[in-house]
Amino acid sequence: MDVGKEIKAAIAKHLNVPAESLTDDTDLADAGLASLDFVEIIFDLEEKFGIELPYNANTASTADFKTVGDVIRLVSSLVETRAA
Amino acid sequence: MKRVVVTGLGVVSPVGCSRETFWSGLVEGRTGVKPIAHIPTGRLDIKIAAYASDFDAESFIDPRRLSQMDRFAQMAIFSARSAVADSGVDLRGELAQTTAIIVGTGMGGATTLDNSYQRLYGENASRVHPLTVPRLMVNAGASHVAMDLEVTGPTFAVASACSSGTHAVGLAFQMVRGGTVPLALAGGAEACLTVGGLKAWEALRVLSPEACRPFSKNRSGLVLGEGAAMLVLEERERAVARGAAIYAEILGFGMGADAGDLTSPSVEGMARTMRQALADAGCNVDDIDYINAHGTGTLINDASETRAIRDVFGAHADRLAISSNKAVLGHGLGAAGALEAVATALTLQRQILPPTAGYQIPDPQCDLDVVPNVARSQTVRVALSNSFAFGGLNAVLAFGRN
Repeated sequence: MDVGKEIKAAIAKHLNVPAESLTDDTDLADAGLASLDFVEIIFDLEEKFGIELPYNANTASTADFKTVGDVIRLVSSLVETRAA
Repeated sequence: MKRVVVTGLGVVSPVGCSRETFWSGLVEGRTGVKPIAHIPTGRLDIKIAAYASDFDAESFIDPRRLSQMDRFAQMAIFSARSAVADSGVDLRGELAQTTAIIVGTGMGGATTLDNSYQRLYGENASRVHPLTVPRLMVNAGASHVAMDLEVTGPTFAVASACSSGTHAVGLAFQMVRGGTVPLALAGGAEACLTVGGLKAWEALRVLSPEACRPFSKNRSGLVLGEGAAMLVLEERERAVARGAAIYAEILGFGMGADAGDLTSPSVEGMARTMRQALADAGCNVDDIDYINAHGTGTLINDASETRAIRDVFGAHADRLAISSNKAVLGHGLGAAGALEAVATALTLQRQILPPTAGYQIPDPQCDLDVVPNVARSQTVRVALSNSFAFGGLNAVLAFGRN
């Protein structure tokens, strides 16, 4: 399973844009992702990969989720941890 | 137009179920937030809440009626009875037909719904409690208060999430002011600290794992609470004629919708509603000495509310004080506005500002006088009580000193 591709697809669905238009450097807020979209995407990814993402809308962890690449890196590491 | 005063208060809260334990909890900043112990916590990620552990329904409700009620309705009854007793008003005779009862709630019978789903899906039971429907209906609180007090006047529920209690008091104020009724009982009740309710809130990613710290830079979200509060609102002339003790006068009410984001607050919407309350009360910005803030402890609410207050009050924003009760009470959702209306009425009566408890680090985005941690004696002529709900529904009450 290509984690990066799956994540881009999930984000693209919420933004209603083609997945190919997203790169690792795409800034989520600049791309128009609102906080509720984000919470829904996290839920989708947790369900898809069987992981738990540490995200609280109120704390500095939001800085860890600034770009598409940030999300891919975090999810990939959690998926690997789970597989190990 | 009649003048409307508050003559009775009743509460069920995480810091106690009497007016004085409630007030001392707020003034001393004695938090009701504690580790969850009333339900299994194995599946919860967030393990704190402000549970009203002192509330004991069996001690005051006829056991034959107890099974007809969800916890939120039991709390509504207790706080309504307390408020009526506190006011000294006699609801027999003509008032039995003319008193209005308005009870706000966000969720209604959440405990009943959770229990029935647990039976159906968790235990594969083939049937649920026969009174599941009348227990969980959102109007159950209002209906049970009417039955309990034998009042047949205008009675209904208000549901506007975290603004429900404020909307209920505001509507009751309008009914008494307009002469529709001479007296009203209004407030809110909420009891949704169930496993299902907590999981639903966890999923929104807005709960703090640690504490509610409104306006503090290190705030990490809201903490769920529960409880109920009811206020007796009465025509001023009537209250004075019967020699009632008056806590405060209600001067104005503003309400409106953001018609914007589902959960994120709008600075404009908050500001517009505060301006409406001021205009309705016939007050200028410099008449306001204190605001009982919505102050949920989320990053976005507290910063937005601060900006809205600065927009409305301009230079006067630096001369008024604000504080949030939610570090002590948690977020009582449909009950929150009612509990805070009680707190604001007591603030005016006693001329003491309850502090923003749990406060640790100043935040430049929340740079008003938030009365950090220590109560303060201060002249309060007029105070606002703010509520801003999910769904973008805003409600603000203006209270005056009697």
